[in-house]
Amino acid sequence: MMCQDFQTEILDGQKKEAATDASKALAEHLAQCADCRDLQRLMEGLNALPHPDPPEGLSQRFHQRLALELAATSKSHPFLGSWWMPLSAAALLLLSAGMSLGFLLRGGRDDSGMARLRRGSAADRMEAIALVNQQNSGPVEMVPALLDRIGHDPSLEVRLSAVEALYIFCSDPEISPRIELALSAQDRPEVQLALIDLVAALRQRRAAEALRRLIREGGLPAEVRQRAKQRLAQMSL
Amino acid sequence: MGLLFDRHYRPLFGFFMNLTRQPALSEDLTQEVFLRVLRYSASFKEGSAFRPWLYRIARNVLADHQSRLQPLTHLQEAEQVADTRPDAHQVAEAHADRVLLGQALSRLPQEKRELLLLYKDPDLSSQDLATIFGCTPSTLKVRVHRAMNDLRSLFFQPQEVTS
Ligand SMILES: [Zn+2]
Repeated sequence: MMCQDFQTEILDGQKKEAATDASKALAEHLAQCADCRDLQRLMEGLNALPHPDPPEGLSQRFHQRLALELAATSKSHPFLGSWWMPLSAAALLLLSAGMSLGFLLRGGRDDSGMARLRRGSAADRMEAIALVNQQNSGPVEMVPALLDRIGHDPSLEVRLSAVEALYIFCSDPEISPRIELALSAQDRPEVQLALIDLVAALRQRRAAEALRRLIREGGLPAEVRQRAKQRLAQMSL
Repeated sequence: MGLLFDRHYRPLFGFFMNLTRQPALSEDLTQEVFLRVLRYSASFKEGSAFRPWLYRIARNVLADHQSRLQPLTHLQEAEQVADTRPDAHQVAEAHADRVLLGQALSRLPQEKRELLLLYKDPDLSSQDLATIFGCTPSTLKVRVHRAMNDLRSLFFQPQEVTS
């Protein structure tokens, strides 16, 4: 074998798919070839480069910037308003599972904004969002689409992502009974667990809202009010 | 919404840091990448891998930034390299290696630097990299090999390229 072959082996060794133990021939060659040893040393050096930690608060600052960006968007397109944000958030969640939003929304009317939402360019998509909103679809259409994926998608990953996306619509008062129905119809244990967590989160949210209302309305004995505040503080939602 | 961001912002920040060595800039670029992810999510192809797409956007974001601020960035880079040089001989060999490697890297052309920094990432396959750089996997191998050779020249003869 020539240096060229050994060097290819060194570089390939970097990638998972070729990650076998370095060959005995390579080890022997390295012992006597300074050139290839240098390459190996460089590759090791690259791997040892520090992974600089992101500064404190980066994630928070990003979410603030995102909120500003979205607020600016809804100002220039007032009709996008309330549900552009949840929809974007859902799009991000789905992307993390390797899906596009359109994937979940398949089955919508083909000439509708939903259809354009799943295929267009960025500009197309903005227009489609406006269009869909005017047709008064939005979450109303999103939630059933998500529930449909949860119940029927052959991929576990897709089902779980759809459950995650549902958290975005937590404030929809009609969502609870539908999720409980979805739970009783669910046949995959992993998805059942995720749905149980979601149901629990919704209950806690409702409880927190009730406590907040109680405290706001006043007229409670000091001790009761104190306890209500305490419990509310313990709830994370 | 946190999910996607939380999963990917650390490696992405590290990628920008290794390329620019400027924490504030790296944070800014990292944020910009995710805003673009959101803006262009409709252009993401269903069923394809997310990370290659993310890093393609990352390369574009960096290129856009540099086309706006090129002279300044170069100046800052050169200053940083000059600053670290005198210390190199006073510290342990491993550290010296790292400093020299950092210098050598910063002198590689941008595209080669990006290529090597992403090539060393164990979470990106050769196929992912080919997607990011818009070439075939075999072309990619040739390019990695060339970039490594250039890096080697810069690393082992650092004084020749100081100018
Ligand atoms: Zn050799």
